[in-house]
Amino acid sequence: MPYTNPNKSKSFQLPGKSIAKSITLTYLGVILVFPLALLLITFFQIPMDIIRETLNDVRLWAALKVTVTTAFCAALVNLVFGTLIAWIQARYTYIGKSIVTMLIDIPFALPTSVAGIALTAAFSHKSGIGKWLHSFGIDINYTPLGITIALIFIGIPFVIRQVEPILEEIGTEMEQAAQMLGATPFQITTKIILPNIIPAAIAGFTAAFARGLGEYGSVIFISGNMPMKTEVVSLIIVSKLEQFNYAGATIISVVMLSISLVFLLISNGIQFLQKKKYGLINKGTH
Amino acid sequence: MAQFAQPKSISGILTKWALILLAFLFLGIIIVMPIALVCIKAFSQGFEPYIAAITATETLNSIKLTIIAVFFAVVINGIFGISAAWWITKYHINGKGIIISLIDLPFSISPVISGMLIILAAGSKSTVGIFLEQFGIQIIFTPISIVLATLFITLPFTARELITLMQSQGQEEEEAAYLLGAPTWKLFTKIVLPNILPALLYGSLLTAARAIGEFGAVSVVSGHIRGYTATLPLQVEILYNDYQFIDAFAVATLMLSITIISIIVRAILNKRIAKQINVKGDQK
Amino acid sequence: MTIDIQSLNKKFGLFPALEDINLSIKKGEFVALLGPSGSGKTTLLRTIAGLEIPNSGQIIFNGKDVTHLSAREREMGFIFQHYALFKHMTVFENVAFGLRVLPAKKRLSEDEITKKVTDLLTLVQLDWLKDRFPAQLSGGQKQRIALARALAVEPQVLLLDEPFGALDTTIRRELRSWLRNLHDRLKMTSIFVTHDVDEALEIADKVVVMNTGKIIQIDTPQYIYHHPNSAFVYKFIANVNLFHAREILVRPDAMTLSLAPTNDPTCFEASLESLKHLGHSIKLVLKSNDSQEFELKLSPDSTILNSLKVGSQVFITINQDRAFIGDYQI
Repeated sequence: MPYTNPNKSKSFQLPGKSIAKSITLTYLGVILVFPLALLLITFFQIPMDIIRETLNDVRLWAALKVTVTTAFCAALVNLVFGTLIAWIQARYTYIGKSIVTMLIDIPFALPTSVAGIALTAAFSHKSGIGKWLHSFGIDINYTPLGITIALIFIGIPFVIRQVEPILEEIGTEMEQAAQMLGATPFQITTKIILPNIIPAAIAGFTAAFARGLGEYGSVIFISGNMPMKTEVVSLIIVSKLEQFNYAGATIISVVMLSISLVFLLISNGIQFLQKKKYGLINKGTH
Repeated sequence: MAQFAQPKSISGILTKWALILLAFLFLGIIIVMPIALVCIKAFSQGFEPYIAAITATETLNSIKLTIIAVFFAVVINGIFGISAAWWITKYHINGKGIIISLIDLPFSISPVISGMLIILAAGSKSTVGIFLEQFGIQIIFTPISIVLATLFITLPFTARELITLMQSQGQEEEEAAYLLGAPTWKLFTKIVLPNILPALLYGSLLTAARAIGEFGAVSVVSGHIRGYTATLPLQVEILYNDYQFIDAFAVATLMLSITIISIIVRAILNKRIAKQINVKGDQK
Repeated sequence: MTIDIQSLNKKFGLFPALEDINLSIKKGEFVALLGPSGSGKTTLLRTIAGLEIPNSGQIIFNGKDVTHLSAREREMGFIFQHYALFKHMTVFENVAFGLRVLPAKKRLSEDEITKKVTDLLTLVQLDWLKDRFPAQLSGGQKQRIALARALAVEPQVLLLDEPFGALDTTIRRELRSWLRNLHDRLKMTSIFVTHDVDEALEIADKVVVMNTGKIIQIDTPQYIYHHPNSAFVYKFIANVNLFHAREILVRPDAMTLSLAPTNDPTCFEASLESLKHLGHSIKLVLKSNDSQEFELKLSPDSTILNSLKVGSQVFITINQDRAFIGDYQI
């Protein structure tokens, strides 16, 4: 019960509010809001023809195509395998399970440059699996396929982290109830399990996709960075910065940020609609 | 509450092991093999070149810089995290959602763009940069920019952990202490701090791990000046691009060890926090 | 559908959850599995359902051995303590689920399904909720929907695992009698698990008391209440006093209070510490001469009450038929 101070009409408040508030707002303002605002201001100060010139670059569009398709495919692969791994982690016990838990965290924690050289070494046609695939005429390094593999690597945790908690939360009772009602394992999977993990899976997919769009370190080693072929947008931004073409870098950044924002909103929107549909909003769970 | 299904039917058991095998195959190819190769290549010419690479002056300098960046990230974002979590969870604020979204922002911004933001804000062509140049202070291409970039990237970690924990804890203990007459400082040190310690530690660990591992943002602002503005992840890139492969892989194994250790420590701490949340929940 | 359980054993790892269970349930019976946590009652229910496989023993339905039949094939309805409703489906779709997953040959037409679901929802008096989602329902409503869902596939047996355990006391009592009425109408064999003694005694035809994986007593509620076969059952069934000095277990209603000593050898003296009106009875707290405190209940109409006040000396006689004098000496 909040203690009411008869001197004020507000309810009880713990001390420290103004300090906490000022530290928080000042820090956020300086570190976060200021640079972002500067970005937008810079962007809006750029003359229209320079914007047009930057965006009309064939090289940029090639890079956008490469970036978006590789990020999408990688996120798709992670959707499938991420759901698989989430399933075995949430539902089964087996030898090596805790090792798998830690393995999954590695792409999250490992510096992207280390991931980059590791993947390049693994898939080069001189060693590892790359050598084996090369004999079939499949090349990974210096191709968009290599980029996709790198993005798969760094995207592994995203779907798993979303889906696994949901699987644990819904427990096995719904599945047992479906069993008692006569459903086959296939029917249980399609009618009970999948519908319940879709929002989480979408959230994970979108997160992996957004991450893939902006990825830099793990991609630049394995891709070869060939313009028009295996160049990603983040690299173009870096080259513009190195040439002190801040305007160009700003324009492209704003474009990328907008794309990420759109996907973030779509993902949140889908999840919100799902929850609303099932009546999980505006009502406490029983 | 996890429930494990131990399949009883033959088809159930087959499915289980087929799925596990598939997962193992996937993880083996994508994660285990590349990492194993790093270790193999690092030692491929024997022990001595490995040790030489690890103990090279440049490497040691990059370790020093990494430690500095981590230190500032943990301390400053720790203070921020505590302040933000305290303000958000203990008081009613209009626009709480906006603040939380702001805090989450660095998660969704590409590291390269994050680095670019620092350059725009404090680079040699920016207002701040020009102003500071008068005093002979330069930000980008110096360790300062690296610290700034790291602060930006690791901003959310401690704050989020603390927000989650403090939201689930409620504030009954603090209210009780306050009503018993505890002065603010004692309230904080004797009631608040012990309760948030596991989450604080865990968040700091996450911050540190991320700070150590950040590459993209730091790469953009550093200027790649060997021995001066290279952190460990940058050093890997520098060595690799210079065709010093053994050295690059050697330093990479350093990073690998740090990563694995941090994952293990985090797993242990995770259990402690979960226990904390459960205990408080039972007390309600 | 008669159920015969013979020599059932179930271990979880090294932990013996069920030990040598033998039980027969007649068609149409309403049986309660009663016991404290860990007694094995839920494990027994789930084994009957096919959700657990026993280590040894047999389960026979109507003469047919189903011990190794999968849960899907046993045609039993199961009600979970936490409802297990499909939260991504409407109430209607939940109830229709069992009918919709039938193989094409056995499946009814959509119209027939709709009719059947509507009838069931009317039966449980919740047809007005058919388009809602489970998250929008109260606990009592959820459990009734769960029942309608289970009944849709016309099971031969209904199994209920602490069906009212997650509900408020008032709702629990209401649903308890509602369930009994439903059973009387449908005449379906039903087995339910509970740790609530009142619940079991109130609505079951037969009570199976379990503890530590074994069956302790099987009888009608009346019989168990008056003839518990062990100290455990006696203690579990009622709120009792334990006389340390004399080591007799005596229920508050198994003693007679008088103002003068009686010839009964169990008669002893005590003083009245306090008197409390509980509405339907009067609770007296008394203290014997060796400082043993105990409780006794009287009906509000008892004339002796007029002569009692705090501090009065009274005499207590123990009704030996209704006290449990087991391993202990008087």
